[in-house]
Amino acid sequence: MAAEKSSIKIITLIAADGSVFEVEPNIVKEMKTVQSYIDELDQNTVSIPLPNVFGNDLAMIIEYCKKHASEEETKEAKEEFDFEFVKRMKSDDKLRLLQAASYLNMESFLQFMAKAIAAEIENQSVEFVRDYFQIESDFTPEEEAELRKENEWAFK
Amino acid sequence: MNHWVVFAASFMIFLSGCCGKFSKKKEIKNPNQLHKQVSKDENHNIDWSAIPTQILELILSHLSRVDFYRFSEVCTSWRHAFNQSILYRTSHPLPSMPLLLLYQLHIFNDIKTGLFSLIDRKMYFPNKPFFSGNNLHCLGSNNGWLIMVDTNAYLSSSSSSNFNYPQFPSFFFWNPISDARIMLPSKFKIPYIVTWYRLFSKVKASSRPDSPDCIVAALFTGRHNIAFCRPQDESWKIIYVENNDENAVFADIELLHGKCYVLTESLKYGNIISILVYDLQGYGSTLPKAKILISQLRQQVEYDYPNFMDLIFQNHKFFYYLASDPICGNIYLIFMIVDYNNVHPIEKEFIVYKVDNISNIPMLVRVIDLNGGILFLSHRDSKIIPSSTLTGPEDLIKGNNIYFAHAYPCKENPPPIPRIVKFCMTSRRINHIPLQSAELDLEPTCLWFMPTLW
Repeated sequence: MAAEKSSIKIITLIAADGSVFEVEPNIVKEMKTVQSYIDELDQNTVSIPLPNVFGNDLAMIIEYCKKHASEEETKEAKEEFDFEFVKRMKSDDKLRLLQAASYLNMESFLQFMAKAIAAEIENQSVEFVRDYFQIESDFTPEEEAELRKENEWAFK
Repeated sequence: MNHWVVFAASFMIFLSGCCGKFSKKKEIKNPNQLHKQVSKDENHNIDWSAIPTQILELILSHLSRVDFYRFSEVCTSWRHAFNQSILYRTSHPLPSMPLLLLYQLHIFNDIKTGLFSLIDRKMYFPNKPFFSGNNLHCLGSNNGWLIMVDTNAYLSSSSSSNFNYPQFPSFFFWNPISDARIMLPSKFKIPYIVTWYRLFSKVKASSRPDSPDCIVAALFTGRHNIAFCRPQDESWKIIYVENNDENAVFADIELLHGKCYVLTESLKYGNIISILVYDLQGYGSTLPKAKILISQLRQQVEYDYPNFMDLIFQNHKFFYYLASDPICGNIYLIFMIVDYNNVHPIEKEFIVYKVDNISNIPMLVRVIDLNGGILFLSHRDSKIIPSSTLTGPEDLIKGNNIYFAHAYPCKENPPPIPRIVKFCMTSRRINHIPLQSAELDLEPTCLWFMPTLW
C-alpha cells in the first residue's frame, strides 16, 4: 500500500466551474479533505472533484501551497509573499478563500485567511464595518443602545 | 472516522461524474494568470451577514478585546457567533495590554474603581461598580481573575454552626467579566484581631483558579508570616516563622513552579536581607520549612551601587520587589530608587537581578533584559508577560520594559494621583505616563489586571 501511494505522481483537482489543476502530491498535503481521499485510494493517478471551490480560488490556494511547500524559499520570502498575497485581494475574495480553506480543511491557511479578514476589522468602528461589508443592521435602536452599554466593558 | 472518509470519497466520485460533463475542455490553467481575473471579478457579492457561525468564530479568534466586543454590535448573526464563541469557549480575544485597576480602600464610602488603559491613556469606569459597598476588597489578581475578600461575609455566617471560626470573611476569585466566582477557604486561624482588608499586603495565585495545581499565597502586612491554600482546601495554612531579628519582616512573595519565594527586609534600615524559599508542592498536614536561597542581599546591592548608603541621607527611598517569569522559569529581584526631594516622588533607577545558579550556588546576577518579557509592577502585584503574546501598538508591547504604577502617600493637597512610569531596560530611560485626574479622591491602590472572558 505504501509503495502504491508513493507512486502517485500527479493529482488532478477539478474545481466547481470545471477548471482542472494538476498538482504534485506535496501540494495537497495541507488540504486534509483531499489528502484523506487520496489515502483511501490505491490508484496511481487521482482525479478529485472539489465542487465547493471555484477555479479562481483554487488557483490561489495552490499558488499559496506551492510557495509554502517549497524548501528553497526563505522564511522572509514566504512572509513577503503572504503580505502581497493578501494585499491584492478584496474582502469577498478573502472570505471565499476562507470558506474554501474550511471546506478543504487546511488548518494553517484557514488561520491565515481568518487573520487577514480580522485585520480589516481591527480598530474600526461598528459603522465602518457595516459599511465596508455592506451589512444592514438588524437590531432595533433599543437593542443597539443596550449592546453598546453592555460592551462598555470592553475597555481598550 | 474511516466510515466518514469512505463516504466522502464515494460522494466525491459521484460528483466527479457530474463535474466531468462541465469540464470537457480539461484545460490546465496556470494559477499565476488567474488572479488578474480574480481581482477584476465583480460577480461574487457575498452577503457578509450570512456567513456560517463557524467561519465567523474563526475571524473572532484573531481579534483583540475591543474589536472582539465591537464585532457583536454589527448584526444579529455576528452577535450570534460572538455569543456562541463565549458560550462554548471556542474563540477568546487575543491578549492585549493589562489595564491598571485603581481602587480605593475606604471603610466609609463605596469603593470607587477605575481602569486605566495604556493604549489610549484613558480612564474607564465600569458601568456596574466593581466593588459595591465597603466590604469588598481586591487583594491580587491572576489573568482575568481578581482575588477578593468580602469582610461582611462573617456577619451572616456567624449564626451558623461554624463557632470555631466566628469572624471569617470570605475569600474568592472573581472574574468581573463573566461574574464567575471560585471560592477559597475562609477558615483562618490567627491569634490576633485584624482588619481583614489590611491583613495582607499581597496575595498571589500560581495560576488561574480553575487550574488543578493552583496555589494561593498571602503575604501578611508588616509581619513575618505567610499563609497559603488551594481553592479546594478546607482552611488556610499559616506559616509562623521563628525569627531572631525582631526588625525583620517579609517584604514580598512570589510563586514559581510550586515554590514560594519570600523576600525579607529589615524595618530598621529598610534593607533587604535574604530570599527564602518554601516548597509548596504536595504540602499536607506538615508545613514546609523555609530554606535560605540567597542571603546578604544588601551587600550585593551595595557592591553594585556603591553610593547606595549616601542616597539614604539624601532623601531617597528604596523599594524591592520579586517577580517571576513562569515561561522562562526565572525569579527576578527589582530594586527601585525613588527620590523624595520633590513634592511628588520621582523614580530614579530600576536595577534588575535574576536569581541564577552559579556552580550550584544560587546568586543574584544583574541583568539588562527580561528575556523579551514585559514586567507589570505595583505594590500589590507583579507579572511578566512575554511581549510576543501581546497585541497592541508596537512601542507599548516592546519587550524588556517595566511598567510601574504606584500612588505615593502624600499628606499635602491635592491627594496623590497614581504615577505610572515606563522603564526601558535597553535605554535605561524612565518615561512618565501622565494620568489625567483619576477622579479618585483618596489614595488608590494599583493593580495590573488582564481581563479574560472565562
